[in-house]
Amino acid sequence: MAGNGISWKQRLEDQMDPQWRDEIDQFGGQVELRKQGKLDEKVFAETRLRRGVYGQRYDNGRRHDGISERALAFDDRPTKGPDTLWDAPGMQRIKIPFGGVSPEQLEVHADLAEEYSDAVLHVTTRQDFQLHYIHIEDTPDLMRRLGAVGITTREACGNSVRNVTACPLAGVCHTEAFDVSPYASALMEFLLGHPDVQDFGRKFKPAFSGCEQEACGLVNLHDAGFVARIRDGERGFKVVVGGGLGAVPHQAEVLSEFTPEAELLPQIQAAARVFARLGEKKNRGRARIKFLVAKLGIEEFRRLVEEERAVLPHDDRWTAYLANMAHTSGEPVRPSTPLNGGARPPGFDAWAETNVYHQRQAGYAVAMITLPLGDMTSNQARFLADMARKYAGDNIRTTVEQNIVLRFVAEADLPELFSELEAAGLGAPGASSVVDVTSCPGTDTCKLGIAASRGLAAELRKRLTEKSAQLPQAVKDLRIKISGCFNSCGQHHVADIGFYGNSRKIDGRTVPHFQVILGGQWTENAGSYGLAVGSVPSKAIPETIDALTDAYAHGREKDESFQAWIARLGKRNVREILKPFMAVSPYAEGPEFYSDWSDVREFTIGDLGVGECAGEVVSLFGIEVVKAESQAFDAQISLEEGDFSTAEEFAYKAMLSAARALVRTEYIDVTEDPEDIVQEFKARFFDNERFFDRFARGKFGQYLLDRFQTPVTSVDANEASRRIEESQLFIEASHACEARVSAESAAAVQIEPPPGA
Amino acid sequence: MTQSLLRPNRVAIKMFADPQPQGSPDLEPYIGLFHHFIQAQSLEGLLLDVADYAHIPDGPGILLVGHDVDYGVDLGDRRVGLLTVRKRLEDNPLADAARDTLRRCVSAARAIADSGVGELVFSPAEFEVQLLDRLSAPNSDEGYDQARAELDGLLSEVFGSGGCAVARANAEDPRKPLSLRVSVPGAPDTAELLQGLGG
Repeated sequence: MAGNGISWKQRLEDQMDPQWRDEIDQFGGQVELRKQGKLDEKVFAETRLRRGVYGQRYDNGRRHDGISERALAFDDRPTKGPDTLWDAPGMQRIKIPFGGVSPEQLEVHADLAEEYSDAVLHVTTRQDFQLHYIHIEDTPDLMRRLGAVGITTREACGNSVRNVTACPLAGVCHTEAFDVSPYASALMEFLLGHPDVQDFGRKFKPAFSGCEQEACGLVNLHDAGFVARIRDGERGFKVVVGGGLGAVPHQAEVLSEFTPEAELLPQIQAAARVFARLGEKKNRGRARIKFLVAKLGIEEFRRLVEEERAVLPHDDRWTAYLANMAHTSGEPVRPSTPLNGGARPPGFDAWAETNVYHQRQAGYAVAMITLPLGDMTSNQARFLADMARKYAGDNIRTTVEQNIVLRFVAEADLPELFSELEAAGLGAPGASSVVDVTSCPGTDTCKLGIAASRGLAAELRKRLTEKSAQLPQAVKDLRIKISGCFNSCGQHHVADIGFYGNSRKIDGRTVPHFQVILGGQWTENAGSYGLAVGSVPSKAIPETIDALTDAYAHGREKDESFQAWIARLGKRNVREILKPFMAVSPYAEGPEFYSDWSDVREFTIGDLGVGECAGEVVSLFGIEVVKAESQAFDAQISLEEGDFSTAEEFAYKAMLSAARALVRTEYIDVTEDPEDIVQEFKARFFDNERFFDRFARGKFGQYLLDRFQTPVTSVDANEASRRIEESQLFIEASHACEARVSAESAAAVQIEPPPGA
Repeated sequence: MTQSLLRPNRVAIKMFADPQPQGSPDLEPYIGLFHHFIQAQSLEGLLLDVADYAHIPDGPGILLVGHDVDYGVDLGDRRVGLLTVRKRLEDNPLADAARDTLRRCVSAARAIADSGVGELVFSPAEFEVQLLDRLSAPNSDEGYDQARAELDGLLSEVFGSGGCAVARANAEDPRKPLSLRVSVPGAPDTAELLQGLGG
């Protein structure tokens, strides 16, 4: 409220869609009701999530400060969700359909970041913006200010249809069938708040792609993907469903080779109904549509969708937009002029090589602005709005590589634009190259983060930039993507070199590690996923990258891609490259291993209720779980050699070995009989939820129980690959469980009164 | 006495480093120092976490995030300074909010100096007051005149009548927050200043 008594609500009430206004007012009312304790906390949590208001790390009011865990002394008020304190800062996700944002909208984001956040705008891997450290009571005004410029945060989180993503080159690309942006926009508007998408068990992520062979919209890793196609002069889409990354990645399967444009919306509506009706609701870990498609098989899923489509009540909106399609490809503000040998400032050529894409519209180019880790300041956002107005009109898009692009820049203007960008600190070259490292928020702000993905990304970016001039072109062209945990928000599965955070107990302490994932495919719309090769201590990752890229640069055959090189070398040999970096020195000799990047605190996982005390140098579990890791690795080798059933068997054995290692910490005499192991694991760790973590709950433990109860009869590559992923996750969960249990034991010993006291 | 019309939700004060470092300052030591401040609860406010933004050119540098106040070694506008952002001000008159923010900023500058960590020295000889609330305090001529009127008393009280010069910053870009640049020739040291601010 201003000193003159005017509120944002009053000022903006006539400046937005009345429905949006009413929804935001209603949300504001719910905030007040919850604050007064008049609304159930779970109901409020789901309500705020559906408005994009997320929790953030430490919002349970506990934080390990490096010495001990401390309670954060927030005021005693109602929670904003289970174990989520009212005053703890949170994150606001803002949906940007197909990444399209106008200068005016960007300026509003800049204002919001300054007034409610930390003056930093973060671009996500799904073309959203995120603002961090937001207070719940500021969110209604924040939404009003966005709503007044045509942006909604509705369904940015929660079990709903998330942001609709699309290729940032849509409309200007040389290889697309047609511009998919208006269709992405139409799909977003049609599904936003639609009654048929309100009862999903989990989120649903759509993506559009203009062509098949490029990375484009990465449709194969999405719940639903749409690839533009023209058949007999008619526009339509190849439609795929059931893709996803996360803990167990799935490639999407083809629902339809060609869906005419008029059928796009009814078909996805029908698919949404099938997902809502038959998708898992109770077990979050199996609730994404990928599990439903895998369970039913794509043929049956397709039959059900067609059946549902046949009985859908007609809706004029299915085709109304086609008559008046939104013009989204943009219009230039300056005449098209080729560069033609015009003056080039120092550094321009290097920048242009990586950051300029020549549009199919002659004389125009797309300028890519690299944002380190997807971050820009409010001042930079305002500056980019100015640059867009001056050179590119309304043509700003965010990208899934966490950058910004300006489209329809006259080629002759590129040198001047570069000079201005450079003066503002935004002229770094290397877009989409090895220095342009993608990262999810990780332990910086995410409640699920295990290791510091952003800290590692910043370190790699710095080191690789320093030596980028010396790097061979083949190495420059690689992509590095990092996630703070197995959930893959950093899209590590589709990078040449990917990482996800985990941890290992060594020398009685917890050491941050990253699992190395190699050989993912970015092109072909995320055509295949990389596989885990081994876990490396966080602080050894830069040297690991050097060793991998050196070996690739020197060992590749002519024009051999990184994926082909990895495949030719074989995972066994690749692991040999990693091996020297997998060892961790004892704490006394290498304390640096025991903290994470950009963080001086000794590393802990999960902000447990107790600190971790030194135990034995190598625990029994530590010795025995190595067997499980070897079996998981053997499974990958078998998969690579095409022996799918052996791969699946090794993966199952790996889970059994990890479970046995865990059981033997309490019951040394457990046999090697699978029935005995599973029974003991279930009784000692699963049924009592000791194996469960706070977020995944029992998902990973269930992998072993399911496999034990349902032996496989025939195994294909997908099944083997999935089992291997499951075994990796089960092993990780075993490590985490053992760390929790030993920490709790140590705490119990600490608080025990001394004898005779 | 000027009636208080400006009640911004946030007030920030950036106290500039003197001398300004040549090139990019080494920010890494401040990560450890800020974690130490949380451990020792050395600064006023509920301190939550440390955010490393050193990778952003001209960005927030290293940020000590709090519930009601943030402290940061800030590189914005290509001038290094200690930025203190007072948040969650509930209907406080500007002069009160600015006094509180200045006190916290000076106190943080002292704590950093006392730690001996890092190469930067933050001096009250020059600082900027930013009103981070476009509804309450738009960056306009009228907004500036009002802010100036509401802050004059505080500045005279702290630095003496005529003890400082005030100029409008960000006038060239009304989208930026309303800001006042304060120059204090012969500024007191932080201990003395803190005493004057009741710290």
